[in-house]
Amino acid sequence: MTSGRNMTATSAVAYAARLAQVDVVAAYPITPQTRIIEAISKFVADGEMKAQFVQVESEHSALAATIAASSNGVRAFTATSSQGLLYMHEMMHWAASARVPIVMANVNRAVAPPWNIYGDHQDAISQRDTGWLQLFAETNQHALDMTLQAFRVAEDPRVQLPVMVNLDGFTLSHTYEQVVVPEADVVGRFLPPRPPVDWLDVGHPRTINGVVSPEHYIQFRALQKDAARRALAVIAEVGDEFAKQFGRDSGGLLSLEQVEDAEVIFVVLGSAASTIRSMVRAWRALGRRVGVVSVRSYRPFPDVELAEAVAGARAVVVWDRAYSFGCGGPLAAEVRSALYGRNVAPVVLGAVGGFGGAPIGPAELEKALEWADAAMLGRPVPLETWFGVKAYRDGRVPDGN
Amino acid sequence: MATRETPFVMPGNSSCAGCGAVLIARLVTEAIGPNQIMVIPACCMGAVATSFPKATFNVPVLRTAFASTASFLTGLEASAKAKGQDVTLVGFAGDGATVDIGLAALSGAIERGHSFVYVCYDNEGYMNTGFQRSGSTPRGAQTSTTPGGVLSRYKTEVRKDIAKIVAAHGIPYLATASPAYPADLRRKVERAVAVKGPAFLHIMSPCPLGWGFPSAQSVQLARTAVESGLWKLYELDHGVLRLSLAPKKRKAVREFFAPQSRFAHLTNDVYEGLQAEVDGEWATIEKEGFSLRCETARA
Amino acid sequence: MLKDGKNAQAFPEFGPERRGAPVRSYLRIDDQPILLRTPVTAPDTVVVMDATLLERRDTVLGIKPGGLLLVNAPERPPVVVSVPVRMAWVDAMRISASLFGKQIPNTAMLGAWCRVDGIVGQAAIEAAIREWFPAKHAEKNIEAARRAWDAVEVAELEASSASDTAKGSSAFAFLDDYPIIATAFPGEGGAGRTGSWRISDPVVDAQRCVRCGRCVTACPEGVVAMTEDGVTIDLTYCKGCGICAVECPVQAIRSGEVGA
Repeated sequence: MTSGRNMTATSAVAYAARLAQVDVVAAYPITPQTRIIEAISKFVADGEMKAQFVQVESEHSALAATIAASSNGVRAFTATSSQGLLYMHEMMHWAASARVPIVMANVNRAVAPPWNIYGDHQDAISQRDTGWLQLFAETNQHALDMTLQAFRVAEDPRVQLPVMVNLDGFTLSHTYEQVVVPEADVVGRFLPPRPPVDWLDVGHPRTINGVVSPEHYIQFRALQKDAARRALAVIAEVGDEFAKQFGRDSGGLLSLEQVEDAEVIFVVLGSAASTIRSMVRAWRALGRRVGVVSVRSYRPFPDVELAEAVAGARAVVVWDRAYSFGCGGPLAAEVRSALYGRNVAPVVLGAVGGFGGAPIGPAELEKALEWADAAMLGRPVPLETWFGVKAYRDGRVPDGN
Repeated sequence: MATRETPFVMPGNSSCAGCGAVLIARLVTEAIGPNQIMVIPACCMGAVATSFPKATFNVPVLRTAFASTASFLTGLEASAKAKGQDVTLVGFAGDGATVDIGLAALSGAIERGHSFVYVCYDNEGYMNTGFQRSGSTPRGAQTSTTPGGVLSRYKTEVRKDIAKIVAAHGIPYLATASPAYPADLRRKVERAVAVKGPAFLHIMSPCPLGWGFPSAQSVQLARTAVESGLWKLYELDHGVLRLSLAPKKRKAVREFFAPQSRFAHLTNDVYEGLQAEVDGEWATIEKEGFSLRCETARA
Repeated sequence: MLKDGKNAQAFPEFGPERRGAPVRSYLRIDDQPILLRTPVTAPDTVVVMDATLLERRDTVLGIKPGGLLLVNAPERPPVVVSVPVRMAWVDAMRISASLFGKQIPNTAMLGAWCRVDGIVGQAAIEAAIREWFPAKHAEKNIEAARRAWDAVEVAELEASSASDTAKGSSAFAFLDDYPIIATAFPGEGGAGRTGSWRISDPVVDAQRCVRCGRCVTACPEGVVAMTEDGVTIDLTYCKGCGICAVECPVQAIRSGEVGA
């Protein structure tokens, strides 16, 4: 039994923003993110949160306003989903390259058309190369805890990059479960005020983020690259510290369950990891050696740690809820890349599904395990399978081969 | 390193000789003083703002993307409130960044009532990228995307009247200004700073290269625009509309158009039509008083 | 070059439109198709369209020993180079002014280059001018090229040990010298000594000046000042736009020749 309160992940994120004593929130409503900004605006209206809450006229402006506020040294937060995240795209690059330690909750939702408000990861993954760090929550508690940790990571002098906390639309955002809301003073010790910046000091004027020539441009990109790689250690360190102070493992780079002796390992982002954990436990009870890796930090990508975790398996099923059309599942490609150069490596199977709210449930997972078994036996199997997709009239299935 | 005694606009910057925009930037920053933060989007002054690692403006400048001047002002205002910081926030943007790509953000920021001074220096086109048409390019002008050709000869659409659009928001303070009237411009900037809430300044910014006239005539051309009755200097202060200047004896509108190569194709009958239009407007003003109805977009 | 059966590649160093600002462009000529797509860093020939650009250390940077330096200058320009080069000069401004009434030195420089470089024949140049210009302008431009062909002078230039043209300088020698975001501090001359952009000098007549200060207010660059001695203009940065002369209510400022 936990001592938590029943709440949705959107409420959990709103509590996190309040506990982080965020100074500025600029946002624009979109389903399923709306509950976050409604809750925050209510906190502000009730005087329970001191933030300046601004509901702007678009997501582009929401992120732009957040960047400007953060450039002026305050702690700034925003939240969005799907189309809203895509509309921010220009500012996504801007935020990362302007090195502002913004935290944004992205309530993962499918991308239109056709219109669909339910969960998948196409929105977040499409922002993969903007320079943001991306964390994925598996539970409502993670949504709260990761948001607090995200500020620590973002504001760390070794990092100074924006962080996106991803939480699955509806599966987490509109699902009530127990969440422990920590005490403000404990959070205050974990997350001290943001270190001051003097970028816009009227007594010492300067122009920031202006034009530079080719010889200088690449230098700023190199600094950004190094900061993003350094974030690996910082995320791990902050996760450990959080676990010590709060007694919960809800951060770090990866969460591993029963991978040591596993023949088959599932690798996944977000709330589906939770479902897979339950299946792994059931399979283990039947004597199957199956494990799961929940990738909590998608960017920076813990390639070495992930390769170490899965290298001993015979088959790895990477479940993508996003797709790079004309190529394959992005996470699967990255897992394969992480394993490159090893003498012995497991076969990596790209499972694709869970789009637009379609389930990744026991039925899909049993099928995936059969697929992995066939691969282990050396049978010819496709390297990619779309789950939940009907066959063509002539019997062909969209297997990616 | 620059000190407070150094100028607000550093000499030897990368602006073109005779640039109206950098002159406006100097007049505006001098009028506001050191306690300001400028936001500059993609535009001529965005390019002029830095020759890395040197900066042109001797006040803090936050560069932003094309569409986000007003949303940056929004975020800065919120952060200034959170910090208890008392500073004038200045948006300094060209017409493309204001009337086209940044219009939604500007509209939103005015509607929300944030405190800032937004200066649109209007050089009537995308001058930084090589003189393409904008929503503020006047009818009749040739630009690099409304070139003279066999089937069409110039921009045929009437320009947006950004001041009227802004006025429709019920903004506390709005004024038009001209670099040829620096005392009037300075007074309006000071008023814009003093006003609580958003303030908008629409300033004509002659561009020798894009409009095609000798750089020496930049200020003179801006003056001719006013003296011919084409560019009206006015302000709207909490709902009270005042004409700042009514030229006693108006110059012929031709004197404004003729020196500019972008209007070189205009014929006598066009000039006569334009002159009649302007004369008609001023006749109405003299009879009924100045109202925003009198302001028509042209050429 | 195409007319002589050669391959050519020409490209500017792209930047925002700025009238009067120095620009650099590159030309490669080869008998073979040209695949390399990078700026020319070790040119065989440097053509300098405005002698004031020789003040900039990077103008002749990288020129090959024995290379050709062609300058648009009324007389032998005082050039210091770090390697021996063949220097040529021609008064293309005067030639173009006498033919066109304006200073458009391009075709004159083309004629001079054709003579001293010799890689492209005079006939090919003239054919190209005819193709490029409308008929009414072609002959005058060919005449400009011919006059420059005749007038260009050449001298061998020794390397000087005093020259420091070989190296540029940067405030950021290492990656960790950089701030984490592009941070620029106010400073004069970001675009260089922009006084070199002038094509005419503002000349103040102190007797006429009534000290009204209009020129000070109207100067876009902010280089006109009112001092105890009257109006002074910082010619290091004055771009010579001429606004001060037009705005002066008593005609106390006029446009004079550069350096007069």
